[in-house]
Amino acid sequence: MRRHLSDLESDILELQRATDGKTVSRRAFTAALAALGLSPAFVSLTSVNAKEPDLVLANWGGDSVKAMDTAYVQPFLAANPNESVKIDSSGPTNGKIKAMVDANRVIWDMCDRASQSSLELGPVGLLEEVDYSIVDKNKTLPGFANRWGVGNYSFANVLTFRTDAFGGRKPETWADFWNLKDFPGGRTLRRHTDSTLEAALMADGVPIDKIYPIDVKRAFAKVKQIKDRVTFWSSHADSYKLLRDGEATMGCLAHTRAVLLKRDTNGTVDFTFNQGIFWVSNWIVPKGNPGGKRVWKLIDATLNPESQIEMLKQMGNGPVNPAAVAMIPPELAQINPSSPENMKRMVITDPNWYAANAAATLNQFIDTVLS
Amino acid sequence: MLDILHLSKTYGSAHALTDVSFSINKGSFTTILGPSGSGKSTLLLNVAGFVAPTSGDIRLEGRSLLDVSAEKRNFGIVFQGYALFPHLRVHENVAFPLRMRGLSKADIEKKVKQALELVQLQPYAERYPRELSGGQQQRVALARALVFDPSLVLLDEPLSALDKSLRDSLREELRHLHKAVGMTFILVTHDQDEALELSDSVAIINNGRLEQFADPATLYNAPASRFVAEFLGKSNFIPVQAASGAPDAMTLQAAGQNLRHSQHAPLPGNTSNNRMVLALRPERIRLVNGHGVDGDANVVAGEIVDLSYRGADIGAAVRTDLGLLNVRLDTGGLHAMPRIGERVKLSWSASAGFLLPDDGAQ
Amino acid sequence: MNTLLRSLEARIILLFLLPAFLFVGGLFIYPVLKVLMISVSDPQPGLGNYMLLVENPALRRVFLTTIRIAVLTMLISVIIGYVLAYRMHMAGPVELRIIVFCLMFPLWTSVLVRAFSWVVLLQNNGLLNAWLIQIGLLDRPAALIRNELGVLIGMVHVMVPYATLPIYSAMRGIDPRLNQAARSLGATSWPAFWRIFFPLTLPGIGAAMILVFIISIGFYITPIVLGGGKVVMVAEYISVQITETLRWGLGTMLATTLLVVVLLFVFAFRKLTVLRQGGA
Repeated sequence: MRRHLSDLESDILELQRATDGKTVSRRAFTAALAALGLSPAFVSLTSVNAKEPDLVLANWGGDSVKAMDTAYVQPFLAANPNESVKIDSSGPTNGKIKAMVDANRVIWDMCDRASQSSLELGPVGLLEEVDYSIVDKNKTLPGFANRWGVGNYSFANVLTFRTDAFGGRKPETWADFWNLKDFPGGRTLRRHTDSTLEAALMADGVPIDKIYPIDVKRAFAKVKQIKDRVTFWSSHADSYKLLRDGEATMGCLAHTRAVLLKRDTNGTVDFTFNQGIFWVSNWIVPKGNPGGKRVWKLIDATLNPESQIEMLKQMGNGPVNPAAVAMIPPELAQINPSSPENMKRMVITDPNWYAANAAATLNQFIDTVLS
Repeated sequence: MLDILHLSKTYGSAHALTDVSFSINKGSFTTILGPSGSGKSTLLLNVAGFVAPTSGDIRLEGRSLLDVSAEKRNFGIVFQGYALFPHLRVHENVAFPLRMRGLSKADIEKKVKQALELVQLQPYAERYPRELSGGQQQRVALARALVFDPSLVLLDEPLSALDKSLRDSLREELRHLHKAVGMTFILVTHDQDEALELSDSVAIINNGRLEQFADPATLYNAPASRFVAEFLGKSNFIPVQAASGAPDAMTLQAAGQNLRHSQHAPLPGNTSNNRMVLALRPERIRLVNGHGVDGDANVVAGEIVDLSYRGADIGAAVRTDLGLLNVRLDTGGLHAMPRIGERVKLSWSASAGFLLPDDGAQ
Repeated sequence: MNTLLRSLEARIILLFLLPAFLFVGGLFIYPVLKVLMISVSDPQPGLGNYMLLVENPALRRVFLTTIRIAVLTMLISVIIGYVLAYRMHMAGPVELRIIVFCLMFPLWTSVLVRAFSWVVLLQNNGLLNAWLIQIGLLDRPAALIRNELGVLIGMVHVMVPYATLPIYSAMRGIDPRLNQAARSLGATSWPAFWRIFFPLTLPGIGAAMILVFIISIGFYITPIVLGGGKVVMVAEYISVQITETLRWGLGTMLATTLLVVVLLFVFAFRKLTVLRQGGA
């Protein structure tokens, strides 16, 4: 019962952020007002003062607030004593960014956002172009620094499973995930196209380097095959709980949660990076950000190897700076998605495909797969 | 014949009714009269079957009603405020008890029509209760209570919600209706005029007890208690210190004076104790100027301190040694208009008053 | 003179009403108009977004799911609410206070907490399933959540107070003598209830149905938490369009359609109850 209640608490925190409705922070409220085209003067009054405005880093809350503060903000402030930085954990959704930019009331300087967002929002004029004269492009993995976004940390969605559910056999591939006969029990997938489509295609026999462009129809058909046995998770806490409580015997989970599960269950729940789906999160800067050019210096600082490794220690999120990857201690390298031996077994996601197809595919997914 | 036998009802430690007994004749119009909070409503609820008595019995034609539920008693009840069903039209309201009794459609139609004719509401059959005046609503309630030929009709303050002129005309109608249908009517009211005018007999309830059960004339002329004398019409009460002699030729001592008194009815209560009052109706006292006084009449002197002119009579308050006496003066019998401050003599015959135990009622 | 005064008076009254107009206009009418505007202008001007309702069967399915769940929630909540309200109507003061407290207490708890509490109670190894298996009623856990049933349970739980209070209020407004009258006229308890008491509570039932339906049709968190990801209601679909896919035209079109559905429902229901009440 105690266990349930602590889950409850973390679920609630997470969902409150994800649903961005129920706990109305002032910033969320401002964003909501901006979305309605109502931008009362009093909102800006509060930030009228003589000194430069704080740089505002927008992320998704939870442990990442403390982690980003420790890994990114504090080292930056130590090196730049005149700067000040705030973290807003209300969740920088595409919708909020668009609302703010449209209403000319931008309150965020940098947003932690899935990589395709830079390519969705950038071309329609909602983002500042990255100033690569300040941000060192060499500090990110090749291919993860584009015109509007720069890589920040990596994570993976991985095959996670209970070792006690299949009589000693261990699933290795998504084909095993789809094999309900030999690997009985419930399944859980993310309630989103991201990673779910890749897993479905791999299960259907597509090799990891031939995933993109995604054959959406084929992927949907594959998901539908096992849909009745799948719980689609919306919050990481939910995915964690489903596996831990055995309501699902296999799931596609963020590797950070899989690591926690393995530790918390003393190995009863395990995971593999094999056929994992590798993602890089981006920093993006909304058009007309209040801090202006100052933000690039902070973004560049977050890519320093020390900050990158600290982030791995804090959150389990992998460095994107090749120099940092080389410095990772061996015990952490095992659970780091961007370590070469892990990365080579995974699908490297293609933000360009998502930027072009995410909106339509997500709606189709909800329309035809979920309901 | 409805018999109420030693009926008591307590709510916790509160005694709503205490040992009430009286009998109502079939076809009669009986009123249960009492001030508010007297227990008359509790008595009605017991008869109707909504409340079970703590002890005692209620019998109809000799058969106890205690094990008969309200819906089986077959009593027509006109509720205070009428309790018409607001979502049903007038004819549906009146048809309701007939439908509950499973009558055929044709019978229902016929009886509803008759009942509405009886109360002269045929043109309003299709209306909803809220579209009717208070008097019309009251007649719908009557029709609904009468339509199923109940063995008894209970009327709970049926006129109290109406204004005075309407009340008077409906009172008249009620009396005619009772004669027309020939059923037993039991009226519950706090209005003594209503009780006296309508009833064959009246049960006066006070503090949960039956004060007196009698016909109106007896109640007025021979009240059994100071409460009854006071509640029905006006009375002067003269404290009496001592009484002696035979009932038809008594001598009473009041404020140092000897008063003559004779009483044919038995003296109520215990007259040998000292706490008695002489009840004297204002209209039984005359104004005299030293002459024309009967031999056995009492005469006291006093001064007029207040006058109220009421057309047919004048009310005068006269301060005497016996206290302040209210006198009703017939305008026709006066030689001259009395004035305030005028010294007068008052007289009443020995048989005019009533000797009652002083129960302290005000 | 008189007319001058009167027009002055009218102006002063208008002046005092101005804050109310501004309040309603600014915080309600203006945003609604704005939403309406976006729905006919994004991505291009015209009724293209509304045509999607006809062209796209998936949208119709989301709407049908939403309306089905809202109607079921409404019916179940109103039935439970009626029983509860009747119990409250019959209860003594102490029992009444206890029921009112139990009814109102959840209203101070967030919908999210309540949804997750149901997860704790109803999941496969949750308290209820564990108990049912322990007493031998089930041999494997019943799927009580992560499906439409779970959504219904969660939503009914939230909605029961909203259903109960209007019905209770209607019951309290009924003259208790009507019941005595019905009984004195020969009605036993069932006909007295069915022919007299129940018809008089219809306005309360109508109000409860409107209230519950309107709130239910916009449910968002409960279906996400208790639906196992497979129950998509309109509110969530709109949220995806606004925050993720940035199809604001589609999202605002759905929001506008939702508003129209609610207004039609209220209108139809009012008409119905007014007819039942004999034109009052």
